[in-house]
Amino acid sequence: MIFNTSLFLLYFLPVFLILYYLLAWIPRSWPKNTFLLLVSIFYYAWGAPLFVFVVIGSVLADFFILKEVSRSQGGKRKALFWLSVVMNLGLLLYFKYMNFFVDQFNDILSWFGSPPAQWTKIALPIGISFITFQKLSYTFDVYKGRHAVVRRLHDYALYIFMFPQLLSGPIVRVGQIYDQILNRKAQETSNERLIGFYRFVIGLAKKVLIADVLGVTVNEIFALNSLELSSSLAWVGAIAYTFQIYFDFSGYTDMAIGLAKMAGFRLPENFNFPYISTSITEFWKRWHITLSLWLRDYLFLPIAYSASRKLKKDKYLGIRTDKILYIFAAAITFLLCGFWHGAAWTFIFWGGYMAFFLILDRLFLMKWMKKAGRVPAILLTFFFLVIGWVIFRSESLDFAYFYLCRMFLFVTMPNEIWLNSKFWTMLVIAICFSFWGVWKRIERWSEKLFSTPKSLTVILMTVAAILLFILSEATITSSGFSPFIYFRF
Amino acid sequence: MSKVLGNTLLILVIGLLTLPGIQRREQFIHTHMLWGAYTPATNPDFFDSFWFSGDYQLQKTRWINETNGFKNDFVRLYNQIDFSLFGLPHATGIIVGKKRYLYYVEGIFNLTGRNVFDSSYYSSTANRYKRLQEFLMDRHGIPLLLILAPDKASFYPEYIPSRFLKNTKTPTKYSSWVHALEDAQVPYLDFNRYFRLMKDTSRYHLYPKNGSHWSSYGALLAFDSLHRYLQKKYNIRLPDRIQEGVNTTQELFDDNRDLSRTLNLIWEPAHPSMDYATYYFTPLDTLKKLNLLVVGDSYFWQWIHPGIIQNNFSHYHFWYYNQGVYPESKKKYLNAYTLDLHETIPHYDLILLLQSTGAYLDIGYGFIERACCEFFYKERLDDYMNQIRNSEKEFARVQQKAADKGLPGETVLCREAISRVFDEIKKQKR
Repeated sequence: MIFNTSLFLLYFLPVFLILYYLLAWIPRSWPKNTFLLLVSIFYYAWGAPLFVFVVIGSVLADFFILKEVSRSQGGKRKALFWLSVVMNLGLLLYFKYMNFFVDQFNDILSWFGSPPAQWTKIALPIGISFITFQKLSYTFDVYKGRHAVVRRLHDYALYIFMFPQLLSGPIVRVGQIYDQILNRKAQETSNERLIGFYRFVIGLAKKVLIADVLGVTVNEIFALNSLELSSSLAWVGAIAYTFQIYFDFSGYTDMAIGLAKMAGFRLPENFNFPYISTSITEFWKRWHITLSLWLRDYLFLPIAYSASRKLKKDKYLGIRTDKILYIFAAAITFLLCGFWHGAAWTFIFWGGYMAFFLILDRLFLMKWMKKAGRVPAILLTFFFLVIGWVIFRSESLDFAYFYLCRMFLFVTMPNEIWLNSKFWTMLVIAICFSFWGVWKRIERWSEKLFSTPKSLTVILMTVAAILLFILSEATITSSGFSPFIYFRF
Repeated sequence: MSKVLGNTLLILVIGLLTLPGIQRREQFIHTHMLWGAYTPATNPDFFDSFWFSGDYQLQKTRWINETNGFKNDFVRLYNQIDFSLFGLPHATGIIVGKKRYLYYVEGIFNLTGRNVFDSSYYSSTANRYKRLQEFLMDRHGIPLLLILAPDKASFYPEYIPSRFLKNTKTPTKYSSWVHALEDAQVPYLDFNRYFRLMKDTSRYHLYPKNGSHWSSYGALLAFDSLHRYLQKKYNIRLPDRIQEGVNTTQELFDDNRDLSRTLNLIWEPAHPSMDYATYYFTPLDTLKKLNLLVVGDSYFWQWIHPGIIQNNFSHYHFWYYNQGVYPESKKKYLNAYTLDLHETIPHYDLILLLQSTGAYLDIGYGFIERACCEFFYKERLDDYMNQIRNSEKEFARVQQKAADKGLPGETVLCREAISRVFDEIKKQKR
C-alpha cells in the first residue's frame, strides 16, 4: 500500500489517525504503540502478503539473538553477531540478488556452450533493502555497545515495522527513535501534528504533481531507439530524470517524515538540497543522508580501519596511506552502494562512477572546485550527476553507452515526442525548487515558518495544505481515466 | 499558536480526509456523472480473489481509486486545470488544437494521409457498393445512397496543431474513397466537399468548436441537400421544410459539444455562439411517407434528435455502426447481425449509408460486404458460418475475439465468415 493511492489517503490514513489520536489520550505508550505496530504489519502485509511472514520471523529471530548477544561475551557474542548479520544479508542476497547471480552464471554457461541452469525467478519483496539495513544497523549498534538492546519485543518490532519509514526509509538507527517509542508526549502536540500534515502534503505534491509528470516524458524518451532519439531530446530526458528521481524520492521521504510526525515521531532528514552541492562529496552529504551515514559508519569506516591495521607505512608508491585507505574504502563502499540500489550492472557501474568522483575529490577536485567559485562548482557537479543518473536509469550498460553517446554526438532529427507545456512547467518548477536552497535566507525562512508559526500563518498553511492535498488527490484519482468518446468497437 | 486552534485545525483536516469515504456511502452531495465510455474497475470479492498473490490488493486499490466519493469532482478538477493551463485533454482520441478547437484524432489522421490501405481495397469496396446499389434498385426498387459526412479536420485545418501536420502524406483515406467511387461511377453525396465550399459564405457556423459533428444548423443544411438530391435523382418527395428564423445563442446543445463533454471539465470551454433554426415541415398527407433504413455513425443522431427524420419518414431504423438497431436498442439491445437481410431489407423504401470521413473504417461499417454476401453468395456465407459454429476450436477463437473487442459473438462470427467468402472469391479470380 503506497502513500499516493486513494486507498491510503482517504481510508487508511484518516481511520488510522482517528484511532491513534484516541489511543494517544491514554497516558501510557503501549496501547498506541501496539496499535501502531499492528497497523504497520497490516500495511506491510497488504503489499507483501507472503514476505511479511519472513520479516516477522527474522524480527523475532533478531530480537532473541541480539538479546543473547548483549548478555554474552567473547566467541559466543561474536558468533551470534555474525549469525544475525548472515541471516539478514542472506535474506537480502536471496530475495534481491539471486536472480541476478543466476543470470550471470547462465551467461558464463552460455559462453561455454552449456544449457542454462533452471531457475524460477523470485519476486522482489517491497522494502527489503531498507528493512535489512535498518536491522543490520541495530545488530551493529548492539554488538559494538553503541546502544543497549531493546528489552521488549513489541518495541523492537515497532522500530522495524513502523509504517511511515518501512518501505523507502529514511533508514533510522535505534538510538534515533527508541526514546521516542518509549515516550514522545512532548512531540504529540497539535502544532507538531499539523506540521507533520504539511510536510506530508508537500511530499505528496512533489511526487504526484512533479515527479510523476516528468516521469511520463522521461519514460517516453528512454524508450526511443537510435532512429528516434536526437541529442536534444536525450539531454531533455537526462535532465528531466535528474529531477524526477529527486522529487520522487525526496517526496516519499517527506511523506514518511510527515506521517511519522503526525504520530509523534521525529525522523532524521534524508535530503538537503542535493543539487546545490559543489562536489560529489558534498552531494553525498545532502542526498539520501541516512544511507550515506549508514555506509560511512557500517561499511566505509570499518573497511578503512581494518585496512589501516595492515598498512603500517606513511606512504606507498608516493601516495599517503590515508589517501590509499580512503580510495580503497570508498571504492568498495560505493560499489556495494550501487549494488544495494539494484541487482544490475548499471547500478554497480553507477556506484563505481560515484566512487571515482569521490576519489578525485579527495585527491584534487574539491580544491579546484573551490577555486572555480560556487556557481561553476554547482553547475559542474550537476553535470556529473546528470551523467550518473543516465547510467542509473538505463536498463543495461549498452543502453547507457548508446544514450550517453547520443547526448554528446549532436545528432539532430525530428522530435518524435511532443513535449507539452505541462512537462516544461513542471521541469521549471522542479529546477526552481531544487536550487532555491542556494539562498540561505530561504532556508532560514522555512525553518522559522515551521518551527514557531503564528496563528494566522498556521491557518493559511492549513488551507494551503488542504488545497494542495485536493489537487494531489485529484491527480491520483484521475490518472489512467481517459474515456472514449463512444463505445469501443 | 493556541492549543484550541491547533486541535480545531487538526480535527478539520482529519474530518476532510474522511469526507470522500462518507460521501461514497451516503451521497450527501450530488455530483454529476462523468461522460464517455470506459471500463469500470470491479470490486474484488475477498473470498474469490487470491490474497497471497497480491491480486486482491491490486484490484481493491484500483476499485477504491475509482469509486471514492468525490471521484467525479476530482476528475473534473484535474481535467479543468490541465485543460485551462496546458491545453491538455484527458479523453482518448481528443486533440486540443489552436485556439482550443477540439478534434477527434482519427479525422486528423485521415487528413494527413495516415492509415491508408492499398487502392485495390477502396476500388473493390466501391464496386461492391455499386453492385449492391444496382441489385437493390433493380430487384426491390430501393435506392441505396452513400453519404460522406463532412469532417471537422478538413473543415478547420487551420486550427490543427502543427505537430500533426509535419508528416502529411497523400493520398488520404478520403481522396482514396472519392477516387474509387468516381472510378466506379456510383452516385454518392459528398458533404465534405459541400461544407468546405460553404465555409466562407455561410452566415452560420457549420461546425461547432467543441463538437466533432456538424452543427445543428450544418446538419439541417445537409438534410436540405439530401432532400433536393433524393427528389432529383430518385423522384422521392419529402415534406418541405419551412424556416421561421434562426436563434443565435451561447447555449450548446449536447450534439454540439460531444468532445468537450467527454473532456469532463468543470465549465464549458469558450466557444462562439451557435445557431439554431426554428422550422416546421409541411404535412405529407397526400404523399406516401417512406420507410427508411440508415446504416451509419453518430452524425445521424443530429437528424433524429431534432425530429427531422421523424417528420420526413413514416418509420425509420438506424443501425448504429451496423450493430445496434435503433430505436429498439434503447429498450433492449438488438444486434443488426441477428437480422435476416432477405426479410428485413425489402421493407424499406430508402437505404442510406451515412459515413463520416473522420472514421472511414469501412464504408458502410461492413453493411456492404454483409449485404453482398447475403444476396450474392448466400450459400458460401452460410457454409462458412456453419463451419465456424461446428468447429469447437474455431468457435472458441471467435468468441474470444468478440470478447476482446467488446463485440457480440454473432457479429464477429458473421464478419469472419464474410471475410472468408471474399478471400475465396479473390483466390478464384486469380
